[in-house]
Amino acid sequence: MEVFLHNLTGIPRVDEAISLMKARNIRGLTRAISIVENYEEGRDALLNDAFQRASEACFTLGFTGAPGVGKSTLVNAVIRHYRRSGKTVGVMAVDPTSPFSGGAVLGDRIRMQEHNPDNGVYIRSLASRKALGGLSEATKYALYLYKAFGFDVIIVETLGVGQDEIDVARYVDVTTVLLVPGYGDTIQMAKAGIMEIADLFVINKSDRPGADLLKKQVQNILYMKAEKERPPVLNTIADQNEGIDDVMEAIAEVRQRKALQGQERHRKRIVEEIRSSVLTRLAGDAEPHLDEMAGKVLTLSMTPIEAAELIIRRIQKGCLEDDEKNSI
Amino acid sequence: MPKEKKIRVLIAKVGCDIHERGALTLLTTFRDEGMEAIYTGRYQTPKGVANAAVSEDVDVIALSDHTGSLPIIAEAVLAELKKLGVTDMPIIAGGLLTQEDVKVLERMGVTGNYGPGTPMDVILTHIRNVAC
Amino acid sequence: MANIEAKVDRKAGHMVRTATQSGLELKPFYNAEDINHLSYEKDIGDPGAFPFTRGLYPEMYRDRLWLKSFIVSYATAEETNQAFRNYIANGLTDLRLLCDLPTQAGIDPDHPSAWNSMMCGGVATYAIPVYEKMLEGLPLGEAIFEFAHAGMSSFLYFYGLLVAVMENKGIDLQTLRGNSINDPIRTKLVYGCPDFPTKLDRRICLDHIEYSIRNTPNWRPIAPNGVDPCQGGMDAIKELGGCLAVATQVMTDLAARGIAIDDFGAMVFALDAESDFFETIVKFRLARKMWAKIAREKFGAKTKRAMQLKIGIRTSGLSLTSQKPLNNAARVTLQILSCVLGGVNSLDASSIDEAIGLPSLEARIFNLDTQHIITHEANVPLVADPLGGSYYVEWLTSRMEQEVNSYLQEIESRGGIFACLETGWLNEVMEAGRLKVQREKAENKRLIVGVNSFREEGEEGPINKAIRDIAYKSPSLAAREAMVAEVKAFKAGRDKKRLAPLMKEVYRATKENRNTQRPVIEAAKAGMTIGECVGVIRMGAGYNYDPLKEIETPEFVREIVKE
Ligand SMILES: Nc1nc2c(ncn2[C@@H]2O[C@H](COP(=O)(O)OP(=O)(O)OP(=O)(O)O)[C@@H](O)[C@H]2O)c(=O)[nH]1
Ligand SMILES: [Mg+2]
Repeated sequence: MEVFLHNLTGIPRVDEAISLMKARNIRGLTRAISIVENYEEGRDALLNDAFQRASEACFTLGFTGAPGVGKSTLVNAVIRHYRRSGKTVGVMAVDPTSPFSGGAVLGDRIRMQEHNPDNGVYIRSLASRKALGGLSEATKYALYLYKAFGFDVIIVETLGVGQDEIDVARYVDVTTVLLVPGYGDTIQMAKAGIMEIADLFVINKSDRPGADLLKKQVQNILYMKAEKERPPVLNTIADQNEGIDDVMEAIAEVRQRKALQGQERHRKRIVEEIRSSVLTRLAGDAEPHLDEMAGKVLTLSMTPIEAAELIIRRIQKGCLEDDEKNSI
Repeated sequence: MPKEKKIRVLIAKVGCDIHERGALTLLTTFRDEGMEAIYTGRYQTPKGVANAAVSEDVDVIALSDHTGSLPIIAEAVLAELKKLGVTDMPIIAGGLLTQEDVKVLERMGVTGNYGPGTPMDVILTHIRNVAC
Repeated sequence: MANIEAKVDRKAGHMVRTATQSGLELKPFYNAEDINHLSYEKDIGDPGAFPFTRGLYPEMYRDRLWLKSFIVSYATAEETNQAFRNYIANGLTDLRLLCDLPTQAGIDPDHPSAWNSMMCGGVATYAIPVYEKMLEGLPLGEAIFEFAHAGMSSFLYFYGLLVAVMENKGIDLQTLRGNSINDPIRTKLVYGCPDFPTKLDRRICLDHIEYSIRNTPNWRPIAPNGVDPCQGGMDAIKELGGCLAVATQVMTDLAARGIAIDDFGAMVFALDAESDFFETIVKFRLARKMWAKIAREKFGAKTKRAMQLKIGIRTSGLSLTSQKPLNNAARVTLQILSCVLGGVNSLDASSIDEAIGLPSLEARIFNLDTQHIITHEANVPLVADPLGGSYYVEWLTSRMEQEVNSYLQEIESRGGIFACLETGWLNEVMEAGRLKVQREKAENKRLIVGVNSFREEGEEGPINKAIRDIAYKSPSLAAREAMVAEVKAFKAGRDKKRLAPLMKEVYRATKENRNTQRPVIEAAKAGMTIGECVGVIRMGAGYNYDPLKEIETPEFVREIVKE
């Protein structure tokens, strides 16, 4: 039922991507991400393959925070840290899609350009495109592709506005939330639920006045958490590489602590992944009916609730028909 | 659910050219036209640009330079791409160019080759053509 | 972004705007009511009297015409030297020095990233022999030099080279005249120069100023630059506001080094002459007025000199078009006229072929002739500030002052100009301005003749074609290879025993927070290159050697910085 656009090269492109991936050729990964992003044909096969081969040994890190707090600069320093010990690093940097044009300016690479010539680092910029309440579909799936490719460390940078940062926490092992002094947004944070998802707080741009005050404020809010779950709060000056070692140490500690609840977390993450795939799929199936239903609601022949009900029934019927066909 | 292929463009600057206005203008124009535009920033190496283009799986590389060195830069970037096994990546160029430069670039397979003041719609149409 | 031609009826000729280029709304006319709030003594004053709105000197241009300057910079030292000689022979003594782009970024020609822009934009002035060749036979004590480079390391290093050359020739440093842009905000905001991080830029800026004030009193060691931010998207208000904020910050920082404004002397701003005629004139009048007030009220200036702002101009390269290039002649003429009416002190006007390539000599002569025609045929400079007292001009001066003041307050409330740079706010402001212009042009709310309006169908005529056919030459591969070889040979042939301790002193001075300017002069005399200068200063301040993080610290530098 799905109509895939730009399926110019067809199935071979997917096969090629899979075999390149297996050969640990970066072009395979690169192409696989595009296939997932663009809903090209063979996408599901590609993902199934990736799911099967995804290595849970990859250490995944999330960095999130408001625009311009220094996420990319910090990620850059973190990459440098891992590269010193020879670890391979895959980075996924997500920037928002313009709601007006659907286009995007993907600017995170600029702060990580020193790694451009390094073959041990892979950086991909992704536009959030139309994310359904959180991390875009492509980003979630790309994470599996990265894991299948088998980097030692995988880093996800997302813009922390609204739902995204809460979502990212479900998909990575350790989530770092960045704050900067001088924004006066601690209350805002508490409201947005960021305090709950952070495993670690970094007060970046601590060369600016107010860093100590902000640190205290954050610690005060965190005081409500049990001591052994209380996220560390650290100061950094990312663009001068200051405080990075402390951050790395804290990340390692959090990782160990959380490893104990590993099974439980892994299970939760899988539940989340299934849920999100279902919702995305349903939303896609509903799409072709929306216009028609909107028309009906506008002419007052039904309410939006009834319209939703009707769409769901139609989708179910479609499934039944498929099942019937299969059983014949 | 997005089913539409977005054109991805890498805007690249190699060397020490400080003139950035053209690149920035392209960046926002491409976004407003529904494309995904990635900027390398200034002071890049040819190898860095080639790696970025491959990593980002872009549909086209747009080289911007105002020092008069586009042929040298394009040649170096093409060589680096080749080392990575990429021989089919469309490259377009814009900035300070002589008629002679344009000829040299076209021989290398670099298209567009726009001088200053080229209307945006000309550039956009060209990108849409080479990207698919 | 369809580029639909504006529907302007050429005969009816209606206007599409009611506001200035920076968006100040205008009435159809102004009268005495509009300037009621102004006092002649306090706000305007005679030329030569505080607040210098009408000009710095009572006699103005009758006493001395504005300086005419050009950036002279070709790919080789020999060509550049020849050009300097030609200009000086024609009575032009204001020489603006530049160098190629890698050098401005703080790297040597043998750095791997230099290759792609080597010898573009000027000579690769990597060390003292190149300067000696470039300046050979020139009357160093009589010429006026201006440094228009991008990176902050350039001002420290090339001023150092100039002083070194003069000292080597036994020329009195008191005769060194000219200025350095040396503006640590513009260097990052517009050029993102990699040589030094901002913190270091800010300090190097002060080192250069401090040394210069004590040793070369006729050198103006800073000229906050509005030209490049303006080309980057700032409007007239923010251009002027930015310069005032930089100047204010630097004077405050200098006070902390024990230098008062009266020791500093006259300030220089490098401003842009934009297309909006009256707004540009008003900007120059207002710049003098606002600086005079700041100097007196904020810094307690007592001498007249310390209250005076000299204005050096670069006309807007961005306003020039490659379509119908002949039209650029009209644009530049109006821009020059606005400078003369605004009472500026020096003028570097763009050439009509600049939107196509590097300016040709013929276009530059045309440029000079335009200035001669304005002077000697049109008699414009006979009377100082001829527009003073115009209801419109006085009103607009006062209106713009309000806007500049509120911009300055905004900068202040955000923690000052450096905080505004480092938070990215300044960049956002500039970017927003750039986008606004882009949008206005696309929507035909800003007409550019021959580009988004008044375009002709068919082939262009022979005059335009001829202008377009001017081709510049970019340096060949062979020339670049020769340059790399030259630098390597130079580096290998130096007396390292003499050089090493002098470079160590640059490193130490940086590390121990002493002024770096004199150590740079000494090490430059012994052959320290620009790349090495940048490298050891970076290391002294705790950074790595190479600003582009591509090359390792050279072996002999590693020895030098060993404690
Ligand atoms: N003063 C100061 N500036 C910093 C620090 N870390 C980063 N910056 C600067 O802050 C700006 C934004 O940094 P980015 O790393 O791009 O921030 P980001 O959070 O990734 O931004 P977006 O991806 O656009 O949301 C840059 O100009 C950095 O150089 C720091 O510790 N101190
Ligand atoms: Mg970022």
